[in-house]
Amino acid sequence: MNIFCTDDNSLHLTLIQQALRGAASSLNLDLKIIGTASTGQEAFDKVKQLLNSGNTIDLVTLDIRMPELDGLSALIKLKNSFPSLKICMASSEDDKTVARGHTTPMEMSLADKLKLIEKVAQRIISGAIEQGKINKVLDGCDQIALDPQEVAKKYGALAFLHKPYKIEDVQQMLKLLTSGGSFTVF
Amino acid sequence: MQFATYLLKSNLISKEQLKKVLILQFTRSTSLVEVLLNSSFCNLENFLISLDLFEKNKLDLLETLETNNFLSLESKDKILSQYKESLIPLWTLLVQDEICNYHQARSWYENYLKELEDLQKQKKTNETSTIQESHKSSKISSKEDTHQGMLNPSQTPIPNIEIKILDALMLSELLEAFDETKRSEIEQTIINFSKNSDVEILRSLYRELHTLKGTSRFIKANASEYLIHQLESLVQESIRYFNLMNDYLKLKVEEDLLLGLDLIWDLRTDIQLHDHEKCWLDKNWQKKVFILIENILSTSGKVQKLSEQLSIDKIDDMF
Repeated sequence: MNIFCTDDNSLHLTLIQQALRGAASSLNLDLKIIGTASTGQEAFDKVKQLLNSGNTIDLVTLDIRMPELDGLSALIKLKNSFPSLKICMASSEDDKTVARGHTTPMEMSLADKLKLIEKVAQRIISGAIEQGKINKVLDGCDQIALDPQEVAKKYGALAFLHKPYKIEDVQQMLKLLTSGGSFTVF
Repeated sequence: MQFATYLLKSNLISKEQLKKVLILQFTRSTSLVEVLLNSSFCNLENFLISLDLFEKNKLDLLETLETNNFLSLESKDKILSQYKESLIPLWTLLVQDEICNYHQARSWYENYLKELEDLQKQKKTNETSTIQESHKSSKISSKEDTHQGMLNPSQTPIPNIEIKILDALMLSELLEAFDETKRSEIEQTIINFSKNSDVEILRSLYRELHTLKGTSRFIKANASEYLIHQLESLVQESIRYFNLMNDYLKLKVEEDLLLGLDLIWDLRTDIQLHDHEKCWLDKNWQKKVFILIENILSTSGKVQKLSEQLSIDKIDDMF
């Protein structure tokens, strides 16, 4: 099983690799970290290069909050280029953060918010940057208090993993990867 | 003793400087009610009627007064020119007026608070001795004395946080991630934010705080995680309403963030020296947290109020 990990924080990048190795070992899975990146853009470039040169990637992990290209924007870009790629989002956005978003006075339905995000997604895919507009998906989520999990689900992520990583969550996520299943939050 | 008296007595600022600042404070901190009533723009009765109406509908107070013909349009403009939207503490003005820098002002203010507390303690002790003199049979609890002037945790929004001895190997992660260089980088970012009009500065600050929060959580530095979360929340709100924030509000955010950063640094120093967030257990230090949380709640409320100006159309334009 080849896994590509992305996180801008070197400690967190090490931790997810450790958690994946530990979980894989307990499930008797043969796991290899095929590459790492510290931004969404770097992940996109490296994954593209690996796939185009004949490698297989079973899973890409993407931290949500990263400089240059955030994880959600990278998810949209990767899924657009490689629709069958399995992607697990990783985040330290906790319940408090999500609740904070939901209590913000912003009278918009989830569907309305996702429609706005779709505009940003289209720009991400086409590579267009519009001055004075929100050009990153996570910035859009912050602006309209949209839970990143909703975006991850809509754009085809396999799972959403919360930090700090728990070995049992990572085990469950790997089982989901091997058995197939719908979007799950751990 | 007032802070101004303290500054003069301690020869920290001159009378001329103080005069200048007090004039500024006076002109900037007059409340709307004072302006309305003292300048005879509105009588008390009309003001009270408006206040009732103000509660019922969602117009702002000046609009309510105007809608009810209690104010002419001309008066409204005059009022607005006299009324500055919020109170500005004296020490902030000292910084704004470049009489001293932020750190000096903070340190002066903290010394003042300490001196004030000592005076209050002294006064209390004198009162207690008088009581003891007149009621020799009554017993004063030494425990109560120890807590004079301290915060009652039940009256503060500060949660009970478990302070643990941290794993020596893991805590180095935080010490490395949040060293002197990182601290001054963050400090500079905060200062740049109020001087610039680029929301990206706030976004990068949010990422820095978010990463630090994650690292604090990882090593179980619970107090640091809590404080960083408060700052992160304020930054998130500021990002959301950035285009609508005026310079004053940006300065308030800056002030809260700098105070917060100081406190997180105190915790970090304790982690380095004592392997745990020792100062969190110090009631006097907790007072600073209390002030910070109160300030953040107030600033955050002002920032969130801007959402009233943010229509769905305006949001749509951003996308």
